Amino acid sequence: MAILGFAGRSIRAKLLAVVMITTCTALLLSGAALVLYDAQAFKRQKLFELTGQAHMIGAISSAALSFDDPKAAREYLQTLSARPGIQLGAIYDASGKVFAEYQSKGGLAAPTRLEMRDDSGMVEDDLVVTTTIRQGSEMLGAVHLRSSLSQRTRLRNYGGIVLLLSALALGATLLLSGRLQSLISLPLLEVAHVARGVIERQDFSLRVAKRSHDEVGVLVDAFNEMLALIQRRELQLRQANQALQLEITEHKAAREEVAALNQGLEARVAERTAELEILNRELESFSYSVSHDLRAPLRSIDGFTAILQKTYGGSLDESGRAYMDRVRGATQRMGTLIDDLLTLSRTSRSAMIRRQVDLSQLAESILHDLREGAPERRVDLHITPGLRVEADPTLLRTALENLLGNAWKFTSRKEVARIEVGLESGQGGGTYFVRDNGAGFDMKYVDKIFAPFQRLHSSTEFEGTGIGLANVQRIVRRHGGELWCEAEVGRGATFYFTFPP
Amino acid sequence: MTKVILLVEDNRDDEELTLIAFRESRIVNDVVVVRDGEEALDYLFGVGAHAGRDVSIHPAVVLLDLNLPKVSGLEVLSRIRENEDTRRIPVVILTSSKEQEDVISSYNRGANSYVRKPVDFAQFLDAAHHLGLYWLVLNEPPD
Repeated sequence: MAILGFAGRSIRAKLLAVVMITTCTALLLSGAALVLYDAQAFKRQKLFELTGQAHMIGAISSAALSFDDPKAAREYLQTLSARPGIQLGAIYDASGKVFAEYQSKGGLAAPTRLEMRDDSGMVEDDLVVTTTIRQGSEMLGAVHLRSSLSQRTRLRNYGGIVLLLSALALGATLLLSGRLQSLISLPLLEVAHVARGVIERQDFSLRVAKRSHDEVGVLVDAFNEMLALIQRRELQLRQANQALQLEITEHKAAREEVAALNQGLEARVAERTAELEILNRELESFSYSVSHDLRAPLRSIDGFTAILQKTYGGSLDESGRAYMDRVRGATQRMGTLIDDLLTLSRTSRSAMIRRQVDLSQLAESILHDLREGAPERRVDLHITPGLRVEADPTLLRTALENLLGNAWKFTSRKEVARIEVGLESGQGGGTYFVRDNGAGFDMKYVDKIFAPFQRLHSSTEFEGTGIGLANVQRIVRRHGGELWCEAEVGRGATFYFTFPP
Repeated sequence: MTKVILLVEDNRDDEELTLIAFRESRIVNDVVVVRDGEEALDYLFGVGAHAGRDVSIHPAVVLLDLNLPKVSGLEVLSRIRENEDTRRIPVVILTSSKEQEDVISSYNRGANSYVRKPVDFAQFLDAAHHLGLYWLVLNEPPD
């Protein structure tokens, strides 16, 4: 409680308080001891004096007792008036009756009877002494004296002196300890000051000057060492921070470099894209030229050859006319070739828009057209109805036109041709197929069949440019699907394809 | 007096073959041949080499190639359709190209028909025959 209040005070105040309390206690204890001792000593002194007085009165008044002269005895007793402390004096005869009596002013009356023996003691605050008067072994009488001790006054005086001395001593202590305690508190205060400086300024280079080799000195050393340690640690930390900062800067620089590289890369990609776009445009213009400019001379060759045949055919022999036929045949094949090439290039270039297409209906319509082109043929068609795929309608039509066109073409030598369009459900969605019972082919050439301009049949056997299946493959692959086939010479071929959604 | 056919064609062979095809098909109308887009416009608007021509007499049909020197076929088509006097003249695009882009552009600019010249002369004759029959006999042009 009081100690809690005390806890907030400075070391200086605490030290001062400790010294003061200690000094005060010591002073009070020693003062009390002194007073007690003095009281005892005073009492003994007084008793000694009073006893002496009684003996002396006894000695001089023994004659008066022997001669029964109370008057003389009273005169002897009267000398006691010179002693102010004595309250009463009395001489008793051998029977214990009062023989002579002296009373100080306002004093007490002597006891009427007295026990005849030597005695001393305290009655109330007064010292009482009784001494017997003897002549040889004969008891003559006794002297009884009573003297006031005045102890209270003495105690009061003594107490006053002790208190005064204590006050003086405390004052001196205050002055002295004020100076002496700084021996202890100053170095501590200095430590506290430096500690505050360290906290406020974060300056770990501060040190406390060592002034003594006592516990405070040890504290100062420990504190300084601790500061040195913190300073070293702080330095290390700062260096580590600097290194980290450097690393961050490097990292940032590296990142910027990467960004710059990326930008460069993007610029290059853009450049390449632009180049590719130019190339693509060139390709398109080439396709356009092929379509337009290459066909024009072909048309001239065919046209004028036809006119020659018609107008001057009569003047040529059989082989001359046959050559003319060959010229026209070749021209027309080249026309077809150019058209097929254009279709192939368009398959790769054109935009693809996928939607629901009824594959069965599409196959139906294509085969209907083919049948119209050759109404005399007997062909059995088996188309599974309701086959639906997610595909670009134009591209799907081109693919089916090629597959069904091939089936139609390669079954042309069969008495009864059979063409089948259906779905085989397998793993990962359905597999569609176009099957015929036509000429088929040897499976050892299967890897050639999808390459452009590769043909497994001669033109005299079955006409064609060798582009159709390459085109089908491109279309199926653009839809993310696969195209493959199974075939047997003379028994037909089956082309399988998938259209993953 | 029968109306003329305006043939816009820069290829001499194609011009010759077209004329032969028309003759084979017994088409008797005069065929005016111009060899580039500019001359086609001169003829139609009566300016330049064709200054003074009575422009109120329109050709029965214009057979227009697309790939032409000076002014392209599509440009000629646009100019024909922009002019109040010439905008109703039937224009048939007769070209080697079957690029979808060309077909669409032609129709967008108001072509009445688009015919691709076949390589096979027999088919070419067939096409010329049908063209003549349709545009000169069946079709009723505005006066």
